[in-house]
Amino acid sequence: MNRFFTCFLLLALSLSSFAQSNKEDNVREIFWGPDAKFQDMTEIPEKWKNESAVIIYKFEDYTYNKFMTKMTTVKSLRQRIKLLDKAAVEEFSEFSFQNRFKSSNWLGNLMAGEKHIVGVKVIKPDGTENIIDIEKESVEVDGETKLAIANLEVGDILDYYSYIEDLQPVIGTIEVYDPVEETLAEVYPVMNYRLQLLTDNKFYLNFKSFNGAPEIREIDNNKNSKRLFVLEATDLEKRDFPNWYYPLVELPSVKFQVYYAKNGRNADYAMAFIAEDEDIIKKDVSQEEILNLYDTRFRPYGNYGEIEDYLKDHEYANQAEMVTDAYYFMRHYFFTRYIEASLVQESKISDNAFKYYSRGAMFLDSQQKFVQMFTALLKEFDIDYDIVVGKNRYDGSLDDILIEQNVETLLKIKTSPPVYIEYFDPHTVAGSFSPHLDGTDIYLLSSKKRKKIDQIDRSVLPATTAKDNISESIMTVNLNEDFSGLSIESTNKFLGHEKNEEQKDRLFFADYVYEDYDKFGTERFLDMVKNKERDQFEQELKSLSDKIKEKQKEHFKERLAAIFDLEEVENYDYNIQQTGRFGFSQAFEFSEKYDIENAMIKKAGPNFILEIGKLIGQQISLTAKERERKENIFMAYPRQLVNTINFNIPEGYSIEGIENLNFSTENETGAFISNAKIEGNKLVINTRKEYSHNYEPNANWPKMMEFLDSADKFYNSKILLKKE
Amino acid sequence: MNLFLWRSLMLLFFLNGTAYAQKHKEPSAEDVQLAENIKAQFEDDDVAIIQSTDMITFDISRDGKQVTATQTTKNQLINLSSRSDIQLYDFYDGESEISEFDIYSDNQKRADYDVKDEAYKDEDLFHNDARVKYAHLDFPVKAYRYETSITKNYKDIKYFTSLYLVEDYPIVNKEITFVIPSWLKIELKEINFEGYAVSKTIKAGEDQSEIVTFIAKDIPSRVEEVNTPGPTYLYPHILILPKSFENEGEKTVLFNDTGDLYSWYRSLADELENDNSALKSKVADLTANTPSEEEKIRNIYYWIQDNIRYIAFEDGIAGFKPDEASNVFKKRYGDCKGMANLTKQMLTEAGFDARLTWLGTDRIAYDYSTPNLSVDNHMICTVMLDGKMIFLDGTEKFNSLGEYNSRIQGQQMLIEDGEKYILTKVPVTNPEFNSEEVSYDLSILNEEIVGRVHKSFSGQQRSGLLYYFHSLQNDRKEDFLNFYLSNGSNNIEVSNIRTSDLTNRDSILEIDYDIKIKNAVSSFGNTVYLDLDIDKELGNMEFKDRKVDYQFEARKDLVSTYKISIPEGLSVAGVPESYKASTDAYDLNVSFDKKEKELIYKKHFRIKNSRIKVSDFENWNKNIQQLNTIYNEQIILSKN
Repeated sequence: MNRFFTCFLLLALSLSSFAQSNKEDNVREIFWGPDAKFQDMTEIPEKWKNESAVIIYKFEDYTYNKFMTKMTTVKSLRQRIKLLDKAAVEEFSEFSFQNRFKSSNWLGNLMAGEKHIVGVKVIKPDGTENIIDIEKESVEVDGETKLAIANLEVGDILDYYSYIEDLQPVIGTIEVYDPVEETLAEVYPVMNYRLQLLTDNKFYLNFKSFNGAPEIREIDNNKNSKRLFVLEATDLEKRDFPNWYYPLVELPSVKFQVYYAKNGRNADYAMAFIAEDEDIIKKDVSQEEILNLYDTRFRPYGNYGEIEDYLKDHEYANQAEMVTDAYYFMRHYFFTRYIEASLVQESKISDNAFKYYSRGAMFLDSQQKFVQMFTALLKEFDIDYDIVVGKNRYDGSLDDILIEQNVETLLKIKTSPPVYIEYFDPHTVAGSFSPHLDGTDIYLLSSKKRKKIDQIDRSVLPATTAKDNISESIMTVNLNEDFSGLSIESTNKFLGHEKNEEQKDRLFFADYVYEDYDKFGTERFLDMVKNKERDQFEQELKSLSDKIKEKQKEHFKERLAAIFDLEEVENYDYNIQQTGRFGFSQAFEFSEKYDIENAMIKKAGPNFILEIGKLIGQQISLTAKERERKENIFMAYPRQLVNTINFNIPEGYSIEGIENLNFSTENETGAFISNAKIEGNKLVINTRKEYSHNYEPNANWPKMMEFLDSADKFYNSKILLKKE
Repeated sequence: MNLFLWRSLMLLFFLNGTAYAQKHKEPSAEDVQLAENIKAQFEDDDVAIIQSTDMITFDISRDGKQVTATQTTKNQLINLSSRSDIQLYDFYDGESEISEFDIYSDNQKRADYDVKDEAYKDEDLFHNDARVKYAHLDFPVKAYRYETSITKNYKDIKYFTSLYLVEDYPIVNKEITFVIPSWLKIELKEINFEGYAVSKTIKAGEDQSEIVTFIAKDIPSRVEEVNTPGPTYLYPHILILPKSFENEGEKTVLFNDTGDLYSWYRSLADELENDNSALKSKVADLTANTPSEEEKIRNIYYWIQDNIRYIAFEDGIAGFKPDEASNVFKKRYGDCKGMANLTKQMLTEAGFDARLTWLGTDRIAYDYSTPNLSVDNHMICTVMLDGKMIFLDGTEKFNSLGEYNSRIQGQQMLIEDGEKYILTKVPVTNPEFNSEEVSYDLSILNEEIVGRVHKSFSGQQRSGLLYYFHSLQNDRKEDFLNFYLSNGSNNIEVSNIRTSDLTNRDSILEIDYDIKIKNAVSSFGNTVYLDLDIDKELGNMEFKDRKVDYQFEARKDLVSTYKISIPEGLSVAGVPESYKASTDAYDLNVSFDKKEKELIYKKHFRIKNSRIKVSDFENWNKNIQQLNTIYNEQIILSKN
């Protein structure tokens, strides 16, 4: 496998410090020179002798530097790795990277852009070092350099560095760099780790260590204009994340972000939580800072005239109803009514599909614009609201806010009952928000006098329960005449958080765009298109639609086969019955028809054995390792998976083994309950699997295993069709 | 779909692009009918080529030393489906160039198409000089049409080895014309034309040239299936065999016979310096205190297998000329030619007579009777020992000396022999040479099946498993064995795994372990049903929609025996019927033997010919269905 360096970046050396032709030598000096660490270390601890590889030293360096009108950012990585098996040798035997720096081309390298310097050496067990001559041993095609490492064997140490320097002109007065958020643990165990940040003045740093990761320290580097921050760690076990786990919440990790601001005043305008003074490493964000940042960013603003007109044309029983309808109208007006045009454009039916919209038409393309427009509308109608500021559950607690991009905002409309709304996708509904915010701590920002946002209060978002988030399948099953397979018809319903992923997978534009035009009485895209082009657009959009549907059907067929652990299902057809796009508790529903051939039914003399449990789909079957789980359990949301199987008993046969289908395991973490009964010529089975919470402490794992095992046993249950 | 949508909304919104004016013209009713007719014939295809013409002409390079070739392919494409989006592409490399890549459509007024040109990436080749030119063609409605014209120039006729009649799309009418000048002697060999309607005409052209035209109709598209024989076996094509040419009265021989091909290969090998000083001490180490000549060869061969990684650079002449042995030795990597040459040089250093050996693997349908650069694709080393030849393939892993992988068995080799050459074939072994045998000794305990298992592997079944095992990370090896032996099923628990030496590639690989099988025993009333077979080999191999021959990786033997003790108080009341089937390609044997206290269930599957032909599919499928009937039937035990 190729080892891509490109995900690691920069380090800063003032460009003026070195002559270009010496650049490669200077970079090499940083990583392998006399001052570099762990140059001679070759031994690894006994406890890691059976690993695939052990990282003796991992050094990450981020450097930010502004010189005159140029901004230089450098991201670099050095790893010294002992390779202990063929898999590790294979893993590190080939490197490829973009934009290689070549000293022979120094003029080209003076120009802005990214350049990449790489060094690789191999240390043999007898201590001899072989530095790879990249120029000689690599090949370059279309800007990509590929290097096969020579003479690399099990037992060798590979010591490499990747130095990516990015030189850009300073354009704005503020620059917000990409945040870095990672656990300290790596794919391989790490003996020594050093993370280093070097910035000159004018750069601000937010940095925080979590879950027991060492703290960052500022180190005197004898330079007034530069500051050096270092975090060091040792003895890090390799990472091995189980299912249902949020590593950043539990494992030692770091998060940081660097900002440049020309001066303190500019810093105030950055969409970031920036320290008052660049000398301070920012670790915490106060409520006051949150208030200050969002007050200016979320001032009500926007041209909501069309929405206002729409609302005034309609009558509502209460404000909650009006706000809900406003949301759906906006979802259509600023989003779904453009979808056909965008498909027309993207699929090259036309290169100018948007010309038919009126001049002021716009697509709301950010959370911020959405919040501003919606709050402006609320003000117009004199409806009170709070801005909700929260954080996704997988990203840690509210108190640990550090990086603005991690903050989620939504609105709590203070109607009775309150209505929560968030920035839309084609299927989001009013009254709900992302499952990752379910029951989390939040801040509510509000304004006392309906002008400036000046209040901040801590609160908690409502949490959904298993009863809100339901997947339900009701199936009717018939045996083939020759007992070689099954013929199935099913209705599938999804509620609450179980809905969104299904809608995204199942619905395509024609399933919901026309629904929206009809609901809101807006002009259809094709009706706007002038005669000349209309027929063409209509015909070609229809062809595109047919093609998408054909591909979708193939995908659903494969998905179903995977659910039943089969190679394929036959004669598949489906039908969308309700899109469920207008309410959290409104179901998304579709029906399916298909045949399963040569599976689930087995001949047993004159009788047949039916693996009827398999009809609820594959269940979690825990491995011995999973049973020994040590970590807490983090899931997206509580939920219920409900199945009804109506099996028509073939004439001349009776059923034995119904008692095998009855399970009743229920505890505080969840449940698996099933019961089977004969009703006339039908065997009716009802099952319910429930995950009661989105989090369980590890102490509850044995309880979870109880119901997971029951469900797995049900999955493996069989009945006998006995010839009478 | 979602990503697609978002991207379009973000990037294209109100972008009043006027890069090209695009007006579409609706396809005519005749074209719609034509598309429907073609679709009826080729129902799995979305696009077809109504008319395809290839015009091939030859010239002499400026320096007079080479023959050049120019191929112009013009295709008329039509959409058979509601909408199609395809890539039009062609490859070229250091020995060729694409001088024309034109697209035109009557259905749209558009002048420019975005033709991209990039390096071709191949997972198996670390670096190669192949490049691809391509453009996206969208067919917004059924019967939409494009015309394309691509001209490719070969700088040296040697590298223009064949011309295939198939494309990614079915072709209704195909015409290939070669204009052969009088100064060029060339043979056009027709391969796999049987079953296709192809006619050939030869007529005189200008300047005493000869015009050879092939006309074909209704050629199905290339298929995308797994485990197929190589394309040289599957598709109709013309093998281009340039013999010689005359320029200004001087005759230059190209590949007139096998000797000419050998001479060219040899000339490349002769350019090697063969400075073996770097590898001398390693050879001395490997052969020290080893009195047996065979042991010396073995030590060197195994060292190369274990220490040289396969990394291929195919760039110009490097695609044909082996790398210096010393380079491969120092770098510890190389391609097949580099490994073959290292094997030769190390053996030569050890005093053996070792030779470079060219051959085509079983992907290639030709032998050296048709001298051409597409005849071979592999290189190994032949060592002469006591009047016998031993063939050493350095790219193999865990290959025992004297055992040959199925991909080279029976293939003709071209072996160095000074000025001359030797043609001989790689020996062919019996199916039982590659065998996997398992015996289960089982009993029923508390509704579970428990017992001991013994597995043994030989030939390729052994080397394949060893190679995979050793390519895993140390910390995952144990998990893999567990996973492999339990068939990846949580219903099967394995424990107490004991293996023979997993570094030994010469003896039979043996694995013993305890097993516990859940959910295979079902009791209803007084009857117990057993779903005993946990392997069900070949059960998923019914070829329902397959279009081309199926190729097993090797001829092999699969043998399994289940011995299960019948618990006290129970007796066997029903077992599936035994079954036997035998054809030239395979034998299938399943038997049940009821004894008083035990039941013995035996399977013996022998794949005698690694290729199952399409013409045999009907029979094969019947046999597999029969096998599945047995697999699906329960063993019945009733209470006495």
